[in-house]
Amino acid sequence: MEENLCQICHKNIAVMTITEVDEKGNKIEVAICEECAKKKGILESGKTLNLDEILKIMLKAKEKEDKELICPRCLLSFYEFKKYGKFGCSDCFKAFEEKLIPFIKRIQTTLREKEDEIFHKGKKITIGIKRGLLLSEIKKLKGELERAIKEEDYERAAKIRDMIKEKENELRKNEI
Amino acid sequence: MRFNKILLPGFLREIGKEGDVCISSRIRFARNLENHLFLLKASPKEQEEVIEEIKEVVDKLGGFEFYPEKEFTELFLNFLLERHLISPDFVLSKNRRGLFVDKEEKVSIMINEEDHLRLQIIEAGFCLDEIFVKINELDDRLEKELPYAFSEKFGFLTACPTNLGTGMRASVMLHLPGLLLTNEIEKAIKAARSIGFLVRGIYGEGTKTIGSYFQISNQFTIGMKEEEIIESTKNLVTEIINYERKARDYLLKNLKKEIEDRVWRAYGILTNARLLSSEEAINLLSTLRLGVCLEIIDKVSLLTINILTLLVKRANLMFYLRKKDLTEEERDYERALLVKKFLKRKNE
Repeated sequence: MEENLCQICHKNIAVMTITEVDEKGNKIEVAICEECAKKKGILESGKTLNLDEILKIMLKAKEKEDKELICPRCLLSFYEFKKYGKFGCSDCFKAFEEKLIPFIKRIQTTLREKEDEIFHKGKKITIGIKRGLLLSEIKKLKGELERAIKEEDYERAAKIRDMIKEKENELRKNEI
Repeated sequence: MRFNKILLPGFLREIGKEGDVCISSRIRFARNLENHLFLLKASPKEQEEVIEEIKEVVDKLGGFEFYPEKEFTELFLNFLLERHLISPDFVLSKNRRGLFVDKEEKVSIMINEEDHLRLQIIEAGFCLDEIFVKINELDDRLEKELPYAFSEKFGFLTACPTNLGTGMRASVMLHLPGLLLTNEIEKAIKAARSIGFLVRGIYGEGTKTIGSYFQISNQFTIGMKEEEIIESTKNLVTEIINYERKARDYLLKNLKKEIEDRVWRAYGILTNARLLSSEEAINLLSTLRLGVCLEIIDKVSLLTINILTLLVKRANLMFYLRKKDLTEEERDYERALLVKKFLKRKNE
């Protein structure tokens, strides 16, 4: 992956991040490789990183990746998901799908033999999500319509009635 | 509060199948709505909307009483928890909550616990198949009116990944004094864990138990059909029930005098004590229960013992007596009186 390349030489794999101060005085994080780190005098020449340090660096890179993976609907990051152990909305599952599968395998391991067995095998919903959504929207609009009529705001009532008709048409199409 | 009129939850109105060991069976489904953020992200306003939307649908089904957030005093919540109508997480939740309970107190629908919806049915004895049919039916009816969050891959989308897929947890409450007294319980717990089931002591902390009560439930929820989960739960529970009965037989054959002594001492204390803590009462009632099952004593019925085991608990005691501000000492006194009254009223 490109983001794992050293941001100084753009050739080697970055193994650590360092904090630099740019011209405007802002602190920025820069990922660099072992060679560039040595050049910068961060690592003493001739001395390689020990395993602990490498692990720490890798963990940090992973953490950064998790923090940057964000659900577009509820803005929960994968990092936060792991921290709280909870999803923020039904779109998180799409946003995190790739990382989610190994995660689910780990926590939902039974004595299953085959890998694909982590997927859902149970009952399914019968009416489909779109239909369900339309139904709940229509219900909401009908409530608003009632309120508008009660308040004698007939202009708004007419508008809402049109919206209901539109949704009901959509619903009918959905049935076919 | 409307609960004052109701004496007993459904699972305590009869002794069910395998009632000598199995107190109750329960199944719960976790569901969320597609059109709302889950509770981690939902604002209080959105949480109210979830309650409104679900309430409208459940009201239409009929047969349920609704309890809104403002009725959830500490005492009322614990009253419901002791009756297994809500979960410990529902008590602790900081969300805006709502609760539906049916008239028989078998079906409950928690709104905004960890998921938007938690459906649950609890009944007496070992009856997971019957409960599954009922809860599935209820779920189907709700699904026609509510946009459930669902994906082909992950099934019913739940807030916590441990519930993904079916969103189903099947559990049974077992009374296992035989396995505890013969020190076989650890073996049973280990065996259950190794095949993907959780065993935990009830009323105590963690695996500890008060009164030898244990709950067994499936740990995994995805990758299997609901029926398969029910089937494997049933198989395991059947084995544990047989294991418990064998342990009881062993006790009766090899330690008859000791067991008889324990049972009659328990009866003696329960019918004569002037002060009883709830823990002591539950433990003694548990010993008495074993005595009834082994036909050592016939002065009291199993059902009476099951009922008393609920009524001696703090919140239910106060609700039952309609004295909601008793101190701990007063409760110990009232509890002893209540137990004595019930036990002297043979096979009521």
